[in-house]
Amino acid sequence: MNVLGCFFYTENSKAFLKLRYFIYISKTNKKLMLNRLFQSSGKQYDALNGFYRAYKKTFLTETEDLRLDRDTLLGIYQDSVVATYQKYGAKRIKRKNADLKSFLFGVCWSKIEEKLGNTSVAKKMAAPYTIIKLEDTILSAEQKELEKHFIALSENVQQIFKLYYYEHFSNTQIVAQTSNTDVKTVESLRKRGLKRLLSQIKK
Amino acid sequence: MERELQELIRSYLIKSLDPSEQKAFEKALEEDPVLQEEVALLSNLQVVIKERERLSLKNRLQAVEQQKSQKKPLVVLLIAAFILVIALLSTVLFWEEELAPQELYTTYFDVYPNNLRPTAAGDISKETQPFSDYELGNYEDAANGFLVLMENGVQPDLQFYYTMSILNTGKSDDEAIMQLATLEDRDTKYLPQVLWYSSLLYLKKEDLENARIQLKKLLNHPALYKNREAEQLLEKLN
Repeated sequence: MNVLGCFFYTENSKAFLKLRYFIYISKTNKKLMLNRLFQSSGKQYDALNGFYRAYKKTFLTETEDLRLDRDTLLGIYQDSVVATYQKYGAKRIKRKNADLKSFLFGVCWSKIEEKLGNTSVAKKMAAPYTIIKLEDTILSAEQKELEKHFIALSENVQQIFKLYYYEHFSNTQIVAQTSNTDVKTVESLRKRGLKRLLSQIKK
Repeated sequence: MERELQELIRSYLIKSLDPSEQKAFEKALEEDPVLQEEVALLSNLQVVIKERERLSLKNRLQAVEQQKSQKKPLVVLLIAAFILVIALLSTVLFWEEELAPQELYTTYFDVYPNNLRPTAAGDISKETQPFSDYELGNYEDAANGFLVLMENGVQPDLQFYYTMSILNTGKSDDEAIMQLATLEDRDTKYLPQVLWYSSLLYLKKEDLENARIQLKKLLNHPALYKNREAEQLLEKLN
């Protein structure tokens, strides 16, 4: 009886230790994943906020005579900052050079022109920057459908797609940025995600 | 092989293939409907992700602005609260000064010492008795004694101590005021004291106007008696 009891005790202890170890690993992975994501997105948003603050005052001063309310002007500026960020990426906008400013203000003034239309202010106005027109993205019906299926994927797979096709990260970089342990896992998840999206679109 | 194909599709989508690779890929694309499907899907997916990211970044910037605008009312509230506290404190202090002249009287009043004829032990006579009573705090006896001393003629300095005696009893403020008023026109070395005590008596009676007048007279007198206190009181009364 004692021997049996001892056996169960030992087995249970082992199972318990395994469980503890599993929980520990899960927690560590989760923590690591969150840390990585936080660091990555934190740096990204710092760059964006820094760039946003850098030219905001100049933009609002230069446009104060245009008879546009502050919210409209801020909306234009925000859209233009995001467009610049999406074109040049976090690393480049950190430098805040003259080319970036010209691009940003070119986009801003193109949006101002659109907003003012044929008003008397627009006729008198001479844009102080070379206008840069960017096409507004309007998702097609097919793209909207795809978006629904994309959102339904796990957050991890969404993140892998974003890093691979939008941020143009390599698989190794994706491993470093996410909770995925190796390149094979990343490739496999992306392949399965793609298969799933293809099959759902065909339905 | 699969990995290479995926890399190739991505390079095609982000337009980073060299011209020969680009041509070869486009040819393969024309011939392979499966590849066409995959490329079309990934091309759309890129647009979807970019648009979602654009909205997320814009929300982020809007949140920064909202945080800023939410901070402003807090600052305004804090400033308003600070002003309110200051105003309340000022009001409380002002009320204390305006509504408590009797407290001011108690704060500033002290019995004027006998320095006209200091008494010594065993020095008991008709002339010294009222001063002895005055020093011992028997102000009614002292007042009677001073009246007796002035039977043959009023002496301003004795009249001053008579007035101080009735003032110290606290029973005849009106008479004390009247006596002090007559003393102002008499030749007495105690004129600054007369002005000081009359101002205090006016304060006690809450006659602030006359209290101010007496204090101003005191400050204009060449003697420096109670000048500091007179300035403080005037400041509080103004």
